Amino acid sequence: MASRFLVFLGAWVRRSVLYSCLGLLPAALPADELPPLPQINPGDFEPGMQAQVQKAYVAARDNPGDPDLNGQLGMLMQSYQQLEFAEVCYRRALYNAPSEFRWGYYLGLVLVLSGKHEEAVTILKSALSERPDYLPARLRLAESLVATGGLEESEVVYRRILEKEPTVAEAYYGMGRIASARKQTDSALEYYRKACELFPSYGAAHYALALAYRLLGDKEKAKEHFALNKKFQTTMPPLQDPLLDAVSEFNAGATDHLKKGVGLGAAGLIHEAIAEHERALELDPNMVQAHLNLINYYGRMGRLDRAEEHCAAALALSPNLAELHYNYAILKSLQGDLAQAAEAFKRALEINPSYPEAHSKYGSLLMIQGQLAEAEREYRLALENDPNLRAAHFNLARILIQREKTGEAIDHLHKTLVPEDEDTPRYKYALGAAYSRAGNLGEALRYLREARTLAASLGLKDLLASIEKDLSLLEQKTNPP
Amino acid sequence: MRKHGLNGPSHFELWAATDRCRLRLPTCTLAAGLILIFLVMPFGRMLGAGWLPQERRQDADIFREAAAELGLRFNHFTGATGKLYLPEIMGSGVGLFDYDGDGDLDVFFLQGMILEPGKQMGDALFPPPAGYRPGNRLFRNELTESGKLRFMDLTEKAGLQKEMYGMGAAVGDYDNDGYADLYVTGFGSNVLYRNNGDGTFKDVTVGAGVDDSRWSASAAFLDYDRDGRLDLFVAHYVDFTVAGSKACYSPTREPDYCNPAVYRGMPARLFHNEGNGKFKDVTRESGIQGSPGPGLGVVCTDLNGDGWVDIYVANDGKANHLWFNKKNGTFEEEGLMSGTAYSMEGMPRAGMGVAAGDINNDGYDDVLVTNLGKEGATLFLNDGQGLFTDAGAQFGLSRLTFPFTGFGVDWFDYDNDGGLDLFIADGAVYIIPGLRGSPYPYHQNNQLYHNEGADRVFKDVAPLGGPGVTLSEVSRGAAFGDLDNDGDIDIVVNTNNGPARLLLNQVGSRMHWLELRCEGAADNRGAIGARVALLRKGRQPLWRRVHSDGSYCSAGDLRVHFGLGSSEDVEGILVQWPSGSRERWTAGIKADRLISFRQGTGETVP
Repeated sequence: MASRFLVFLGAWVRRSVLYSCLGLLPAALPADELPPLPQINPGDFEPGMQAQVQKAYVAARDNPGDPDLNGQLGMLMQSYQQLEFAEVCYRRALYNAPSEFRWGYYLGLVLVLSGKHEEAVTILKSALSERPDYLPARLRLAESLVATGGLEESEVVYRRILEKEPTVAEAYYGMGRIASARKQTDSALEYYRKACELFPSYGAAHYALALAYRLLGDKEKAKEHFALNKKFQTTMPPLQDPLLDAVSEFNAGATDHLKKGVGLGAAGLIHEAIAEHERALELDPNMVQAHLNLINYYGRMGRLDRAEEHCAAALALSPNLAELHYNYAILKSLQGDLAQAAEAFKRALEINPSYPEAHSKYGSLLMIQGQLAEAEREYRLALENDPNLRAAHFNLARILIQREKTGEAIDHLHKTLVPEDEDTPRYKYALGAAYSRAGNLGEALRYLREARTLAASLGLKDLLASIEKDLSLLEQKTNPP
Repeated sequence: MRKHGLNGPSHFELWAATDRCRLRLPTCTLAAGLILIFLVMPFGRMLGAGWLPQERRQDADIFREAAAELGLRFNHFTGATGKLYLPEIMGSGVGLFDYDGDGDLDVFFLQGMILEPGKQMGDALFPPPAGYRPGNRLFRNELTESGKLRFMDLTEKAGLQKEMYGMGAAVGDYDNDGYADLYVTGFGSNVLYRNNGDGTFKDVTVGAGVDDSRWSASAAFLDYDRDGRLDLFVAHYVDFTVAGSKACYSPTREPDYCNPAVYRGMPARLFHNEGNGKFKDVTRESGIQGSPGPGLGVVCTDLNGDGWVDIYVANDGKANHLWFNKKNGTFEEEGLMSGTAYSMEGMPRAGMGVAAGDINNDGYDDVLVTNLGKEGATLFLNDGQGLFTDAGAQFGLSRLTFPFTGFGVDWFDYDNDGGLDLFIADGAVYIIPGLRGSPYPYHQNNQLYHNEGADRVFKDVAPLGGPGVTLSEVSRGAAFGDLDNDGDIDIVVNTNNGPARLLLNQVGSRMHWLELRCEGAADNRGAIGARVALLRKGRQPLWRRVHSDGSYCSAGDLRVHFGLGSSEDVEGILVQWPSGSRERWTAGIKADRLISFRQGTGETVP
């Protein structure tokens, strides 16, 4: 026994000396023991979550050797973005079940999100040895390899993905990042182009492509892809990740329903968006943002009665929210109650004097009431705070034309032309009309023709008819028979 | 995870052992091990623990925190009463400038106050300590000839007492009378103080026409049209109002400070100095109005190599702005095309502090923007033509800065080896989960990185920085300058809801250095915007610039500082004045001193 002890001691000494000499004493030695579970106070979570958190925490605490209970606590914590806590839980799960892929994957994912790429690489590699075909894990591994400077290794991972699944846009994007890091701009451009081809809404790929075009001197192409990046922003190619979906399902909170609802609303799925918001309110009736969004959605559906209910509920909760008074004002305007609308706009502006949309809409109300000087003031205040507010430029221009300040009106109308959307035909029509008033028939014709083309392409029949009538008169004027 | 196995008990080898110890004798193991411990360990410590090259070996922390000891007793008061108003977490800046013209840097701190209507000091969640005096504070530097540093609060005497929610300070001699003036931004009105030259200031805001009641953050004086008069750029943040403050929550639905995205970003403002004590708002005609913020950090420098000053604005959560000077009184926003709007992934990041400096000695200012934790700071490397690439990964800074939420920042040569190092003042804006339950769960330690040379990864030297770096606090504004005139750069930090910190540099003056004061002949007497090159035989020139802007809501030393390393040789100094003219001096330039260079006294260079 003594000899065994001495042998053990010798090996320990040898290892310590060796590591010390080479400066290799790791910050965190291999886990010979279970990482301790941090303390948690369920009271720190919203009421709808507390019971869930408490139950999961107690189960994990009382069953330290159970990988599922510890892992599920990690999933719960991750669903609420408590990544440091989730990391510990996943380490505990993995300690108990080192061959279970999902715990390694979740731990790797959390490490990636926390910027701990070196360890993420080790963990993900180990996890993938159990399940080498799980695409999301392979993509995260490749991403972490890039972050740690392992370009060659990352390239191998991406290539292997593309060999089996040649339509993975994210892999092409990753290859592009590697080529960019190597300053191989032509190759990078091709990869990014392919990524955008496979998924045209890939915001990050458009940005990278724009930068590549810029490096190659093609400013126009660069601008085109910057614009697409601005349009698609953070949109990523969809990725089937059932394990990550399982994490999301843990989130029982109102916030998650609200987020889902906002996403659905942004995608134009209003009914679905309303359902998610209503669910959020079931869980948390005091969620003002849910009420606010529902006012908007119900308003868009023409359900003014429901919109007004949510307005009243929200105002009771948060009487000083400028957006609520603004939405109430819009509602009242739609109902024809201009007096109430005016009061609500004024209240919104009292709370937030820099509120550009409120100034602009209030200006429109004043215009309807014939108070042009006051309306002009409101539009100018709107533009001081948001110089890109097209409606304010447009309406201010209308007032200026009435006051025969056509030059200034034209300046404002030019500012309505970007971005191009369903309002642009109307703005170009107004600009053409302004030029006509100013006696610049060439520009007048130009903008009226552009307005006509756009209105036709958008199917705006009434507007088109009006444009054609004025255009015809102008053409006769400039080319009399 | 696999556990390390041991060799079987009957067989092993030691790498440094003699043949005798290959015998299977346990006693040999122990003896050999002990021999190794005593003989090898010292070498191992040197190899493994980080052998510091001669010039960086030190027996002292890089900085010594000495604010209270030297009389710089300032405690920032957020005014928090539990309503979680956004200004409370944004913090305030600090300005360094020689207001009394005695050759040393004085310190001006911006201060908060209670915002909730009807509330008093007794309602404050974090009442300030005893001795608290409300309002922004000015501390005069009473540096003696022997180098003894001491500060005295002379706020009232200077006429700078004003209770406001102070955000930032900008310093510049806008009236060209030889005395540095001060523009103070806030949540609420801003103030322009004209320096009377006798230790006092006068509030000339109304007459000058430079007030703005919107929430202002960083500001900067610059001569954008080269008319010799300093103009003024002011970044505006968001349209937050106390009355309209929104309720926001953490992911676990705890009440927390809002993400600024719930409010609207505001456009910046540009004021043209008309020369008669008045400024004209030229925001619209200059084109600046075209792109709203929310702006926080501002730096003014030539970023496309055309000799004209441009403006870079870090916008919080939105695309950063790079306003290229079109040389005709207008600017064009080219953040996207220049590659400085977003991170490499095409995503907006937070964007609080900003620093411009030539970190790779290629003659062009590069730009670093500090962001939230889990974003990492963004380093934009300049190719000299106004095109930038995100080089954070290349220099290791993306990874190193990833855990921290950074605010005040600058490139500066802390050890005088000629390379620009990096300090970032940190502190979160949302509850840090691990600190939940503590009174102020937003604190983090600051960061300090050493520039290891061209194209090399920066080295984290924060553990060597001293308590001022490693203290975990909510740091915000940071101003950089040589407060004790000993040739190395010190740092003053305004701590949100805490005591100010003075980080006195203890190592820089061990290497050679040179500090320059550039003086415009008649106009722009502080030479703000001048670019200065240190010329050395057989080596690339080192470029710096005269500026006090950058960082977060703070103003730094207008003197230009060069670290010379171990060599005292200086071949000459080249100054590119803001007007575009260039002059060179080659005679009588000796290391380890402050030299003034006056426009018109050098050799004209085409």
